[in-house]
Amino acid sequence: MKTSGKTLISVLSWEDRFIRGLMVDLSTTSYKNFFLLSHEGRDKLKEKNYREVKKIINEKKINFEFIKMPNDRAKRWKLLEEKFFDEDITSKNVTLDITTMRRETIWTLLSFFNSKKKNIAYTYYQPDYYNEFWLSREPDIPQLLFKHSGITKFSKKSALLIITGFDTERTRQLVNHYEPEVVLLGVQRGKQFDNNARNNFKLHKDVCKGQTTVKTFYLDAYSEDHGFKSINSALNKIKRYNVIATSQGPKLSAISLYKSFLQNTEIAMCYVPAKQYNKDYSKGIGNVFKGKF
Amino acid sequence: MTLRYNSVNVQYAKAKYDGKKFEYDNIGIHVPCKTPLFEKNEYSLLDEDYQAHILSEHYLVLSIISSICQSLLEINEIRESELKLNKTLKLDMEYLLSIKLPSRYSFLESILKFAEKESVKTQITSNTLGKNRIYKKAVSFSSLVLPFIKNLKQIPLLKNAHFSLMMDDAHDLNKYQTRSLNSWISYRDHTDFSFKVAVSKVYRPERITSNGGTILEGHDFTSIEMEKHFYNKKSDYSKMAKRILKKRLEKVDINSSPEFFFPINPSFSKGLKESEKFIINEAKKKYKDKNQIYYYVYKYGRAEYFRRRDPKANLPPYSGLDIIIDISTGVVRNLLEPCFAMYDYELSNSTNNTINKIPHSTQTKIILSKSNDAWVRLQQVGLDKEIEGCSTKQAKQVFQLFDNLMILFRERLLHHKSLPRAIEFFISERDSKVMESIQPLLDISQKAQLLYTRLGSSKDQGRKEIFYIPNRILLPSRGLDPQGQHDRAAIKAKDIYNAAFSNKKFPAEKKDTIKLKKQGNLFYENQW
Repeated sequence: MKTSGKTLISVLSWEDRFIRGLMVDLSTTSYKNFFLLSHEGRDKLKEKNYREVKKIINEKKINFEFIKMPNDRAKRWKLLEEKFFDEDITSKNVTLDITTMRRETIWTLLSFFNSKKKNIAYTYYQPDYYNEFWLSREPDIPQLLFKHSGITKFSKKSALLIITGFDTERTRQLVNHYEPEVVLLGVQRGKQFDNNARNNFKLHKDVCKGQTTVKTFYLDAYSEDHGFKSINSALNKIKRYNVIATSQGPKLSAISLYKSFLQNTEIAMCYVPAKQYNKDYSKGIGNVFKGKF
Repeated sequence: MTLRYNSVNVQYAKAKYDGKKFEYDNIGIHVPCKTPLFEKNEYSLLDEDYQAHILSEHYLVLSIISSICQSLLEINEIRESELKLNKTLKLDMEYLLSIKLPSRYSFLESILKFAEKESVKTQITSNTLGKNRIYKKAVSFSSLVLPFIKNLKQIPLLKNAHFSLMMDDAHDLNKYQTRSLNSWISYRDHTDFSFKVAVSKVYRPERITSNGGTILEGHDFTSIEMEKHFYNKKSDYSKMAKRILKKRLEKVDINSSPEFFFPINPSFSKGLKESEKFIINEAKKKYKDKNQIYYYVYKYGRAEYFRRRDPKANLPPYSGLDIIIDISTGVVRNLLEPCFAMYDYELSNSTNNTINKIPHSTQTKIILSKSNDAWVRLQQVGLDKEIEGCSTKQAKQVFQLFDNLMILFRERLLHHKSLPRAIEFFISERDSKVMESIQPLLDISQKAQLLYTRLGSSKDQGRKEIFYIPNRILLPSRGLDPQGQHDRAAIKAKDIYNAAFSNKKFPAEKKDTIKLKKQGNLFYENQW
């Protein structure tokens, strides 16, 4: 560990809630170090927010490092491993702003920081609203996270646990890819962001029809435990399977799913990269959720 | 399904069911490759290629061992037979592998436990954070599978056994596993084992082996196309289709022939016969030679029915066994699905659960419904939703390609002199850059089972050519004849490119067209 004080890690995005959330983060907490990660591509779209970041950093005189993450998955993992595991460049107290962080990155960082026994906190800013038509599309092949691909046993069949989101095609794609014997759909409760219509469990169940046995459970990612108890209870019901788990729903469910993983390291953590993200993904900034891992 | 059918477990159960003695000379071992184990990709984090290779082969070998043990353990005769030699078999393997097998299990059970334990230990090692986590006791085909098979042959029942290792969904193997498999395929001595490898049609596996060599078709392996090809009632596929349907009917205690069970609409049949009669008369006026008359009728007989249809008429009343076989495009699954839907429909509407035949109206309803579904899948839903690697743009391009193909087939049916009913094509003037652009779309179409291919002889110096066959389920919605003619249309690569990328119609071949004697369209425009 080379740095002292508090560390904040965020992912550069063009969304309002990224820069406005960052401003709130930096004005309410005295961070000594700020690591800004960025995925390749859409630099023009992110430029405005990046300039704002630099301005704030200069004003606040924070140690800053901009880390550009390559598109290649193995290279991306190795880069983050080098920085946050081998060199261990953060301080003991780390906050992840997961607002615009992909699940893959959230879990990767949690794995490094958890193994280094850091004090991990997280922040998440909801938007005012999501785009009503689409958020991401052209999903790529589902991937198991490096070092989190579970323990597969020959004697067991496969089961898939999906915390569903707005995109039923993602559910269909996961089922088509893994061909599980059982699918457990974890459905978010509540009416926020038109959830009941866009994340209707019947729609998700329909896309699995004829291919696999489907069971459903409910969770609330916006509750204190972000649905951890529900997820854990659901996982206990499919212990006799080789389980692949994924979070496609509210971002906070990525936290609770990872916590479940730490208690069930035989499960494989899966994410589905998307090739396209809507430039009008969201607007504004809404409620904030903070917690300690 | 074919591999599973040929597995020792299914064949043994079948023999018992038929009251026959099961012969242990050929033991089919089904090895599934679509499991989470093959989804692991920690090998790509390893610094050295050879490390990735060792890890990948290790997982594959353990999967094969596990499949062999699990398969054989399901057969009581083998379990009983191995128990007599338990100690010897275990001691031999312990010596070869420098391990201690658990004493309380039989030989096969303990090898299964060993494979599981090694797999778990490897996964734990690979999943541990930190660089280059390598399991140091990796096994290979030579160090484990070969001696294991030799050992198994000490069991009297298996002394003459040949193990067919059937790798299912082998397109899910990573490149190192594919190369290892290729190396094993290239072994000269296949007395004790051989491989049957099932890959998806579109997948073009590497032929490279672990040490950089190549396996050659004909020399090291043979390919078998699982999509049957057919042309007419007398073709092998058509006969096979009728046999399959007959068997399915017998299973539900229906003793009618498939022809009786799926009757054709009388007006459809009458219309086709009248058109054929008309064309026979026309042919006799033109030709004296019987062969020429026959071929003229073959080309235009059915086309005449579609050409003379009233423009305001509904779509043709597709029905009858021949149509059902035609729209299956040579694929058994495509044959059974609509038949099942028809049977299910009749059963749901039946008052006494007795189905003697499927009314032609039901057949038409289901056929058109399936055809419409195929177009909905192409146009409204989009193949990007279901085919991995297909972008939204490509999904649109594939739709445009098929849409324009149907327009072309329609033009040909109405106007073409020599090949009015050609609904297959080959690609001419194959410019490499153009092919590079359109090949992904053809691959996507094949993955989606909307396009099939086969190799045929080209007229050009007897070369082999790829013939493309659109799934015939697409044709009924467009009022086209799913029973094509023997020939293929030549379509230029650049025209395919333009159709897909710019939504341009295929150019009409003016010199080979005829003017319709009657006015009107093939079908009423608003029908789909």
